[in-house]
Amino acid sequence: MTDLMEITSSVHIEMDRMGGKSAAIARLAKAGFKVPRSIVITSDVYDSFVEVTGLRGRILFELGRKDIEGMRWEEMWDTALRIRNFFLTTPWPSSLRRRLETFITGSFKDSQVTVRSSAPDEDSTKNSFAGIHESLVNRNGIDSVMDAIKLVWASLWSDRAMMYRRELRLDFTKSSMAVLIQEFIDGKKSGIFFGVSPNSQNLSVVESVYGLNQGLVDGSVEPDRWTVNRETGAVESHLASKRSIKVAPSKGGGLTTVELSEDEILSPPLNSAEVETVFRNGTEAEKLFGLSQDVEWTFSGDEFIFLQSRPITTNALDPGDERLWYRSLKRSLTNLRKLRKKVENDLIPQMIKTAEELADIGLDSMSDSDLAGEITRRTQILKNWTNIYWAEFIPFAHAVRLFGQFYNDALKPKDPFEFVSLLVTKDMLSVQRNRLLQEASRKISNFQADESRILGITARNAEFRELIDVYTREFQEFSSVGMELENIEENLLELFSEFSKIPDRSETGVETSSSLEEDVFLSHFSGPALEEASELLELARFSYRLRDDDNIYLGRLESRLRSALKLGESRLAAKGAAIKGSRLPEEIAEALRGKQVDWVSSKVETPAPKESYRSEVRQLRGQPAGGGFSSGLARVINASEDLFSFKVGEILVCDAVDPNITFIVPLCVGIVERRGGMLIHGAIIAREYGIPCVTGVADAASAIHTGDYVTVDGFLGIVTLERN
Amino acid sequence: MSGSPADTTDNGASEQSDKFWSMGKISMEIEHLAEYKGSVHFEKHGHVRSVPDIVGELNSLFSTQNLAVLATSGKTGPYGNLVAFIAGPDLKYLVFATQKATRKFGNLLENPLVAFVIDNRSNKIDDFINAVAVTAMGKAFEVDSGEKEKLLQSFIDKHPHLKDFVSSPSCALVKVEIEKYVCVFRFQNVIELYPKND
Repeated sequence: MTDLMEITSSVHIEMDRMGGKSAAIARLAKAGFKVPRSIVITSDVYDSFVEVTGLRGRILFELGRKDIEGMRWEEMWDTALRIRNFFLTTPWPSSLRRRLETFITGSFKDSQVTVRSSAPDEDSTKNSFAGIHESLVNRNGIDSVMDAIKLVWASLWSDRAMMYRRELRLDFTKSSMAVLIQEFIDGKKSGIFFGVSPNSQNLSVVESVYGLNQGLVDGSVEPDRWTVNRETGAVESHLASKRSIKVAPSKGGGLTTVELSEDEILSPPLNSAEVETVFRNGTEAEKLFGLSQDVEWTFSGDEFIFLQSRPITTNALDPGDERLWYRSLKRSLTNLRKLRKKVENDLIPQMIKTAEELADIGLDSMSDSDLAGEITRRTQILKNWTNIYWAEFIPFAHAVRLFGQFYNDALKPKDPFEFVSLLVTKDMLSVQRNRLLQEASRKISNFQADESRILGITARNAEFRELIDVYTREFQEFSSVGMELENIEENLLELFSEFSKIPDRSETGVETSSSLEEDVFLSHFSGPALEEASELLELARFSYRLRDDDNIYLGRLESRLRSALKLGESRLAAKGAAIKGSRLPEEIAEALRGKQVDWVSSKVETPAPKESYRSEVRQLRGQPAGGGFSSGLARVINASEDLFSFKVGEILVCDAVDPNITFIVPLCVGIVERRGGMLIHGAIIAREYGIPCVTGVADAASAIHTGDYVTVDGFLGIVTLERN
Repeated sequence: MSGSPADTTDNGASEQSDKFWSMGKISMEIEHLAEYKGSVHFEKHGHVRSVPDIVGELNSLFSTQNLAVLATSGKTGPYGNLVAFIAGPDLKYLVFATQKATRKFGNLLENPLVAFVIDNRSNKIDDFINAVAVTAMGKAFEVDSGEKEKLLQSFIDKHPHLKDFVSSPSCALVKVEIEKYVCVFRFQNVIELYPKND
């Protein structure tokens, strides 16, 4: 039975089958170092599982949806979530299950274990997968361990792992995964050892926390830090942390955060003898492996135990490395909690306040040079907020992802995106606005006995007049539409009449998103897990709403810039200045300051080379983001005018649906979007209205033309075109 | 949170956002703007294959594949079989050979509209990612004496072992002028290529 191995002093080391992490533990064990009792489920078992169950084909099929090089990270995450769910929902072949259960319970009886990834291509000197694959600490009971094995296997296909492999140009269709199962050690103090400090070749680094080191590794618990002279072993510095919490095993399995005792807060987790023990073991491991090591360790009582050891990578990540950003996408609950506070209490209110302050500034009375200054200032403000959007809001989207995984782990639903229905809330700004618009269209249909007289009737009707005013303001606010006032009125009326042609839709998912589903979800948990579940749901809802609303707030800031730009342009035009080309804000500001501006001419289109062929797209594959199957004429949205030309029954085709254009969605019978993802606005709104939707369609807005007859298969993620 | 996204956004974002002002639809692009950063720093976007790419793929497919599935139709309905083929320059035509008493030749006389399927499947599971399949549709006619020598030589160059067969007086060399190629990549991405006939 060589596909299941026990790590003993006589184990035969096979890197390819047991993976880097297991091989390192095996070498340490053979050399007499103390490691936890460990067994290895070799990569042969993974291979046979995916082969026998047909999963290998399903994974390849999922990956084949799109060239991996061309996937956005959101699409990767969606793909990862689907694959993860394949693993969770694919039953074990019964003989394999029996064999594994016998082996695992034979090794550990009923004690808790930690289940770690041990991929053959990880932890080499060149590639560090530290923190990329999954490790599940403190699993209790054989069923939970068996699930953990699947989750570790699935982490081979996590978004981070795929992006990482893509970056390293590893062939991930050949990837495999061994699993290291270790006796869980409830260490009272734990930490890491870094053989060579990133800052100095002469120093080693010891970091330590009370309790388990997961908090240290994921950054939620700040460690005490020592530097030790590599030559002499003398401690050169100790940086104490503000100790407050530790990570400890949770009763039912898994981990929890606990407040430190008074004593723990006052004294560092390691005394000087213990720092020395860590240093000695770390440097001996370096001798054994012939390379400086990055060690995770713990103390069981007074005994030092190696949990894992890997070489320090030669291509260590420098701070500008993009891979750091991939890692930043994984957020712990603690971290997300903090981020939410910042986003909700600071950033969003600041954004709203800034927009309001800008609105209060009377531009008309400004001198030209003041107006120029204001344009420059508003441009800068918008750029700053766009940066914040990237650095804070996008990572916060991980709350939705964390919740999705949590939901799927607990409920193992057939549809891995089932959880989304729990997230849609009525208070999303775009939903509110869309409701306003629909309400008005209903009213207009009452007036609509004679369509040709709409304008006349509405003009006479005071109530209606008022409604139109409200809308005009709304659309000014959501300025992406960017139209002149009088045009908006006219266009809105036209749009209203389209709306009134929609057959009455039954109430949308937004209305029915019930607390019942929430109850069903929460009924799967009890005790601390229940608390975690409700907190995560709450966080995820906030994150989901933010994803919609933050765009709208940004839209307001843009609107303020736009009004300054418009005024600037009209003043310049009044002076007879020829404004042309790309009309950059800086150019307009400069011109207002009375300076000579070389208007950057509009982009020069290079003529397409003459070809003796012509190609036409017939079918495109994307992600099935909203179920359903429908056909109609395409309306490609490239500019605001396209929005108002939208006719009921058309297929909405665009590069990226954003909340500012979702108001036309009720008119369409299908959505095709270039940008990919299951949680993007187009997908969200499509599911809300039950409209077939395919996202992640390469070049959608250019490959499809307005007027093409398009069929949207939202079940399979396929778009088919017939060109007239 | 590392500082890297915010640090690196500045240049990319400002360049791109400047372009947005000019497009007069700024906020529509905000989300896009974030993604733009992604596209530059982290991701390469997928695109529909360009004409030169497709032509390259077809040329390489046609030079590596010896056999095509030929579909004809006649009184007894549709009929399919394997034939050795060559592709003409600029992909304007495909040529195959058949003995004149065959069912396919009979079908051609009745209905010259035919289709080929040419693919590079390996009969392994990763065909769904890697295999390319092309359906060529066009009109068939027997090569006349003017062209025969040249096409015969090209045919023999690619299929030397069929020299005796194709040189026999009972064998017809059939040229199919292609109206379009329906090219399937990654199982479900389909692009049609029309060779421009003069």
